[in-house]
Amino acid sequence: MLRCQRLTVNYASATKPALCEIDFEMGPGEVVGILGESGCGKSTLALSILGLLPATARVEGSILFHDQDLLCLSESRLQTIRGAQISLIHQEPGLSLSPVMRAGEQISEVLGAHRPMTKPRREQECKAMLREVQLGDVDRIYNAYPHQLSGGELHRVAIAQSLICRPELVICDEPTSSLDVTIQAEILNLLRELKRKFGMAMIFITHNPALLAGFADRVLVIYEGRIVEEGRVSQVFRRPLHSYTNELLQLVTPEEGRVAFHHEN
Amino acid sequence: MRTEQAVKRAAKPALVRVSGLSKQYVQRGAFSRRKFVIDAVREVDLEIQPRCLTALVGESSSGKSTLARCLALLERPDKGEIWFEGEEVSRQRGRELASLRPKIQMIFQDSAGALNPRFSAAEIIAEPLEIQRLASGHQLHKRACELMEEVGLSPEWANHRPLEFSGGQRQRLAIARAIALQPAFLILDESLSKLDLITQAQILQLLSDLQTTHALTYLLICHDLTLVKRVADFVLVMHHGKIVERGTRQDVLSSPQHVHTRHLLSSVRDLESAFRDVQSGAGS
Repeated sequence: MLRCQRLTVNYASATKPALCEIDFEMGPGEVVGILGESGCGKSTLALSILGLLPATARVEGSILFHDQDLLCLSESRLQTIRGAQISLIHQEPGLSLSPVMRAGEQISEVLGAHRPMTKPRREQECKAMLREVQLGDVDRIYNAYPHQLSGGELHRVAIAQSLICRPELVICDEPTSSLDVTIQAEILNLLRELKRKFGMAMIFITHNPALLAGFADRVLVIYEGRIVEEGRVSQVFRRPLHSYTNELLQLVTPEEGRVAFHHEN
Repeated sequence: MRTEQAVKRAAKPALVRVSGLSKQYVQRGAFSRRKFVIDAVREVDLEIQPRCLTALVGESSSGKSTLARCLALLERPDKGEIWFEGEEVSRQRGRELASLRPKIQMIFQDSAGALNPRFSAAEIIAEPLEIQRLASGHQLHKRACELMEEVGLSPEWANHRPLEFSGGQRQRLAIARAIALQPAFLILDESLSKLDLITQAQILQLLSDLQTTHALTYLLICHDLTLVKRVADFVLVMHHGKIVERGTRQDVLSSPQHVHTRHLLSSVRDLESAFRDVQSGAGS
């Protein structure tokens, strides 16, 4: 379904490429985890798939989505794909949602851009979607502005917005890193549940390997813009080949009191 | 064994002692006269042992940051007392308060927002020294470079602005600024939360090294229990403005008493056990 070939991205301001010769492919319904530290190029990959890179970035290679190259498409063609077939869940919904629009309108706007529908019908669809993301008080949330919602609710609204057109591919860019542990666990379970229900493919970008366990099928480890390791999650987690992966995995289940903070002076 | 040591040390007088601390915020609706009272911190008692790392955990909006701001003397509590090195400090003002500031320093979550983007790295570190009149002129720059080296930043970067640094490097810069005044008590308000795992581990190692050289006492505010498990000597759990559980790391993490602590722990354990299952092959 999606195939990246020799994808290289250079930012005008940087000396090194942000991404270097990335090759990978994924099939429909597959969940691929992308693991790497901050600044390794994870988010650049997400943005290049959606054609959202800044104009100053130089992109080489190709990204084939159903055999059409996303990098060669015109902006108007891309707009028909973005949100409808490929969508993005941002790291911080507090920033990605518009503060001057009601939550419901923002979801309905996506639907309006891709599906011809009457307004009441759109509202109905949106509220059904809000129920799908396990929000209780649907009418209140539909009419609320983002600042009136809690962090967890905002996340659910952002997820509803990205799933409203039933895309084939959802890219989650660090979807839970700004949340505290209990809500993080809820959102992860919700994403799993929605994946089971709608069967979309997912790219799950994170720096925490624990979030991929029991969720992702395959994992790509990116280090300094290159894929250094790739394979099934169970295989990579059990027998990491690259030293970076190994180091990262050891940090997930730390020994108690590993870093000493008890010096007697 | 480490916990035993920590317990033994608890017999020493506490560095910080708080009793009956309360803080309310009053908010008013945009166009109405109705007032909303938020009890951010309610009747909190706690003690922080010297040269230990005490972790304060809780969900967002449980009052952790308000408590930290009160302890850092950035916020005046409505009620209660804060004793620091055997002195009541919550009501101090003016010169007394100014002389206390160097001893208590705070490092914030968002290093990009906390450091002045128009200052160079050296100016950021030198500013507190200048304010406290501890160095001047050429000395100032030299001391700033020494501090940069101490936190693992190259002094060659002294003239770069904070936004040219990566997140981890910026956090190092914030640490250098905080330790410039030789504080006794360092409050880390979610300072490690936005960093990726490897950078986080490096910063922790730095904090641990600094503790040896500077005899620091840390209060780490965070919601990440994996992190707490790795570093804390003592744990305080906060919920709706109150401390609901306290004790050594081992006590709190291995036999949690309060429902809320158990809830926090279970979400972390689920993740960890899923990870272990995959690693051991049970999950595939």
